[in-house]
Amino acid sequence: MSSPIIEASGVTKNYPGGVKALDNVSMSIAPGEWVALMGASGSGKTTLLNLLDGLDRADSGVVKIQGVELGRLSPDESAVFRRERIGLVFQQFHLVPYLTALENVMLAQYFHSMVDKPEALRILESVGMGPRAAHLPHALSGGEQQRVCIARALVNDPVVILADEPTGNLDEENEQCVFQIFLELHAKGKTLVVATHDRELGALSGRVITLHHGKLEAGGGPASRAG
Amino acid sequence: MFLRVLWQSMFGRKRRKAAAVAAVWIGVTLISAFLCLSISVGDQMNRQMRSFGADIRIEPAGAAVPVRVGGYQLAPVVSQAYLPAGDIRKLKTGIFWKNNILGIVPRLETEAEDGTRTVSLLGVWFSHRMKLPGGDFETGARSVYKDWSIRGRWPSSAGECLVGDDLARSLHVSLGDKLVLKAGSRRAIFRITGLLQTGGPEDGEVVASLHAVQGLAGLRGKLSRVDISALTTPEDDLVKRHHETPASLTPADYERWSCTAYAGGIALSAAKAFPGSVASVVRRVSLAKAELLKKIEKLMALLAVLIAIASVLSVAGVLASAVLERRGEAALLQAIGAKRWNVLMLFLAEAAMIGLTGGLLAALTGPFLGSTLIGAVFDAKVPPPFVSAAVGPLIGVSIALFATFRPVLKTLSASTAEMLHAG
Amino acid sequence: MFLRILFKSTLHRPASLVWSLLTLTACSALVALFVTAGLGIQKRITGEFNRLGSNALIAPYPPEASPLDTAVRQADWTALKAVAGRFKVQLVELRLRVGVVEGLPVGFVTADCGKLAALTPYWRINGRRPERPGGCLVGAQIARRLHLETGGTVHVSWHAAGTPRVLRVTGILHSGDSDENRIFMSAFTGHPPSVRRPDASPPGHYTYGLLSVPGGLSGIQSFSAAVRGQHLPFRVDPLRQVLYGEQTVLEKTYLLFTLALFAVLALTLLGLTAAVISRTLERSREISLMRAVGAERKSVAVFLLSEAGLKGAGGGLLGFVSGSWLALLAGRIVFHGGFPPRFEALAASFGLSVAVSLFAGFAGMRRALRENPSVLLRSE
Repeated sequence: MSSPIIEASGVTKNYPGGVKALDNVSMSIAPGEWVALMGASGSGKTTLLNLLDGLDRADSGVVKIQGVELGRLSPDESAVFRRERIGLVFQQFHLVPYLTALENVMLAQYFHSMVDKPEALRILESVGMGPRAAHLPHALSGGEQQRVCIARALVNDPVVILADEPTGNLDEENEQCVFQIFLELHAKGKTLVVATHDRELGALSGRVITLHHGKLEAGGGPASRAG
Repeated sequence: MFLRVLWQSMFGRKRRKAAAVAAVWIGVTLISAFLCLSISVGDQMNRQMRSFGADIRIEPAGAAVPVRVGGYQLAPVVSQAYLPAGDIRKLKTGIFWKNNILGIVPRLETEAEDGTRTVSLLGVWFSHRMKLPGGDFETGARSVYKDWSIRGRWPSSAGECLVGDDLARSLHVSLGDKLVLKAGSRRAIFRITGLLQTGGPEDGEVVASLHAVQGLAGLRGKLSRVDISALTTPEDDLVKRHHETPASLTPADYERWSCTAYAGGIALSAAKAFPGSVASVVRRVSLAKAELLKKIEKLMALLAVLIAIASVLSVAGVLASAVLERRGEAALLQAIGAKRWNVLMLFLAEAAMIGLTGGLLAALTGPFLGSTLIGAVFDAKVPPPFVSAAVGPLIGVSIALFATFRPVLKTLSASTAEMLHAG
Repeated sequence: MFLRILFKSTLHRPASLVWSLLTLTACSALVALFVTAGLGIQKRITGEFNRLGSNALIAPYPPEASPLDTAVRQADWTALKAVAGRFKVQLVELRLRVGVVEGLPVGFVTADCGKLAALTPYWRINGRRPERPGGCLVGAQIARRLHLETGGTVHVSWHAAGTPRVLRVTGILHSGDSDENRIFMSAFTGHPPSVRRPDASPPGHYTYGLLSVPGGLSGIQSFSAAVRGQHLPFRVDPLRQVLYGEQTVLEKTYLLFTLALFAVLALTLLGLTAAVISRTLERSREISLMRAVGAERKSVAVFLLSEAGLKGAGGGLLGFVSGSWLALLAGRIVFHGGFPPRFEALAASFGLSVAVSLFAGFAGMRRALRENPSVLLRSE
C-alpha cells in the first residue's frame, strides 16, 4: 500500500455562533482512490472540502496533501499550491460570465503559468464541449456549464480533483455524462474526492466517507484500491 | 405591514444606510456651501476691490488746477481752497448712502521747506477710528490705499512719516532718517519709517499724519481732498441714459436710478456732506470694478452650477449602487406577491428618508462650511447664511429620489427569476 | 490573455461602466476646466483691463544725478517706440505745454486723438472728442473753474513764444483723475518741441506717454526693464491702483478654483468608491473563483487596479475633451473669447482621473480580498 496522498488528523472547525462544522475528523486517502463524502446537509462535507483545497483553515488538527501541511501555507502559497495540484468542481459551476467556455478554461491556465489554446480546446473536446467552446456561459445549459467547469479543473493536470455536489444542479442525462467523465478520470489514476447526496454517484466510488453533524461516521481509514 | 417592512428595511443594514446618509450629507453640504459662496461672491469681491483704492473723490469746487505730470509741478499753484474737516463724520452719519461708504481718507496737500528746498507735503489719516452710534468705524490710508507699496512700515505716531521714492532719492534720505520741515515760523521733525511707491504724485511727496500736517501748515480743520472707497453697483444702461439724456428717464427709471448704489449717485450724495464741494467718480477705477464684478459673478454662477452637477452625479452614484445591491431583495418581495408599485414605493420611501436625513444634517453644516469658505477666500467674517439651510433637505430628498428612481425601475423590469438566481 | 480578461470584464456591465465613466468624466472635465480657465484667466482679465484703457504712464526721467532737462532733451521717442513695438505695447504721445486762460495757468495737451481715445475709453465726455485742429476737450475741473461749456470758446495765450489762439470746446471730459485738470487738443499744432526745464516758469513743452502693456504688472516690469536695458532716459509708472486690484481679484479667483477643485475631487472619490465597492460585492464570486483556481492576491489586485486605471484613463480623456469645450464655452460667455485648450489641463485631468479611479479601485480591491472565497463558493 502506497503512502496516502491526502491525510487529515484530528481536524476541528468551528463557525461563529458555536456551530461545530467538523469535530475531530481523521481520515486518509490513497493516490488514485475515488472517495465519496456523504452525509445530510450541514454535516460538514463542504467544510471538509474547503479545508482540503486550502480555501479555508482548520481551527485545530492537520491537513496534508502529498505531505504538504496546508494549515502552514499563507493564502498566496495555498493559491499556488491549488493551481499546481488541485482541480475544483462546483455545484454552481462558477464560470466567469463575460468569458467564453474556452476562455474560462484558459483562465486557469493563465493563473497557473501561461495560456495554451490548443491544449484548452483539447480538454474541452475531451468533455464533449469542443463545438460550444466559443459560447458565453449564459448560452450554455447547466450540464454544459458543469462540463466546462470540469474542463477548467482538469486543464492544469492536477493530482487531486475535489468536487462539491457536481451533479446537484443537473438533470439525469447530464448526471450520467458527469459520471462518465469521473469514471474516465479514475481510470487514468486521478485521485477524486466528491461530496455528494447522490447515492448513485456514491456507489460508483471506491469508498464512502460518511459525516454526521461534523463527526466521522464511517470510512475514515484507507481502503484497498477499488477497481 | 408596509410601514413594518419600511421600518425593517430602514433600520436593518445600518452600515449601508449610514454610508448613504453620509454621502447625501457631504454632497448637500458642499452644494449649499458653494451656493452661499456664489451668492455672496459679488458683495465680497466688491469689498475686496477696496484694493482698487478710492473710487470717489471730493474736492472744493474752487480748487486750484494744478499743472503737473509724473510728479513734476509745471506751473505754480495760483490759489487754494479747502474743505472743512469737521464735515467728515457726515459721510457716515448724514448722507443717504452712508452704509455703502467703506473707507474714507481725508487729505491735505501743502508745501514746506526742508532747509534747502521746497517739498510737497501730504497729510492723511493713516489709521483712524471714528466713533459712531452703531459702532466704531475704522478707516484710513492703510485700509483704503492697499496698492501703496511701502518699504519699511506705516507711521504709527504724529512724529513719523513716509517719503515718496523719488523725493527720497533727490533728498538723499533713507529709512530712519529725520526730516526737519518748516512752514513760516512753525517747525516739525519727522522720522522716516517707510519709503513709498504709488506710481502717482505721492512718489514725490512727504506723507505724514493729517493732524501733524494741519498743525505745521497752520491749516487746522482744513482739507484739500477726501478720497472715498464705496460699495457700488456696476454701471448699466440706465446710468448712461441718466447721464446723456436725463429727460428720457421715466419717474420709475428715476426712482430706480436714485435707489441703486451707482458710483455717480453715491458721489452726489457724498458731496452734500461738504458745502461748496464737487465729488467725482474715478472712472478708471469704478469701471474696472464694474467690469470685473460682472465677469466674476458670471464665473462663480457657472462654478456653482458645475459643482452642483458633479455633486448630484456622485451622490446619485452612491445611492444607485445601494439600490443595485438590493436587487435580490426587490425580486424576493415580488416573488412573494408584492406588486411592482409596492416595491417601488418601498424603495422610494426609503430613499426619501435617507435624503431627508442627509439633507437635514447638511442644513446644519452647509451654512457653517459656506461661511468658513467665504472667510478663507475673502478674509471676511460672515455669519452662517441660514437661508441656504432651508434648501438642504429639499436638495437631499430630490437627489435621493432622482438617484433611486431609475435603478429601481430597471431592477423591477428585470426578470424576477433571474434576479433570484443571481442574487 | 490578461488584456482580454481586462477588456471583457470592463465592458461586461455597460450600465455600471457608463455610470463610472460619467462620474469620472464629470470630475475630470471640471479639473480640465479649472486648469484651462486658471491658466487662461490672467490673460483674459488683463485683456479686459487693457480694453479699459492704459495701465501705465511713461515720462522722460533723468539718469542718476543729471538734471531733468537733459532727460527731456535726450528722450528718444523713436527708440522707445521700437521697444514698445517689440512688446506689443500701445503707446500714445502726449505733448504738454502750459498756457494761460483768463489769467489761470492751464496744461494743454496735444495728442493723436484716435490713439488717445483707444487708451482712454473710460472717459465720460459731454459732447465729443475734437476731430479737427482748433477743437478741444476740456477737463471737468477746468470747465467748472472757468465756466466753460460745450460749444464755447477758449482764449489761450502762451507763457513761452507762440501766438495766442482761440479754441472751440467740443466736449467736457469726466475722468475723476488729473486729466480733468487739462485741455486736450487734437493733433500737433505748429510748435516744434522746444527743450526747456518743465518745472521752470514760463514752461515749454513736456512730452509724456500713456501705455497699454499686455501682461499686467509683470508685463509692465519686463517692458520697463527693456527700456532701462536700452539706456533710454524714461521711467515707466504702472497705474498701481488698477493693477493691484487686478492681482487681488486673480488671487481670489485662483483660491476659489482650488477650493472648488478639492470639493469636486472629494465628491467624486466618495461617489466612485461607493460605486466600485458595490460593484466589487456584486462580482465577489467571480473574484473568489479566480482565487480558487489559483490566482494569488497580487494577481487579483493587479487585475482590479488595471480595470480601475483603464476606466480612469477613459474618463480622463473624455473629461479633458468635454472640459476643454466647457472652458471654450465659459470663456465665450464670461469673457470676450474662450480659453484655448491646454496641455497642462490634459495632464491634470488625465492624472487626477486615473488617481481617483485607482483610489476607488484600491478600496474595492481591499474589500474584495477581505472576502473568504470558501464562503462565497459553497454550494448550500
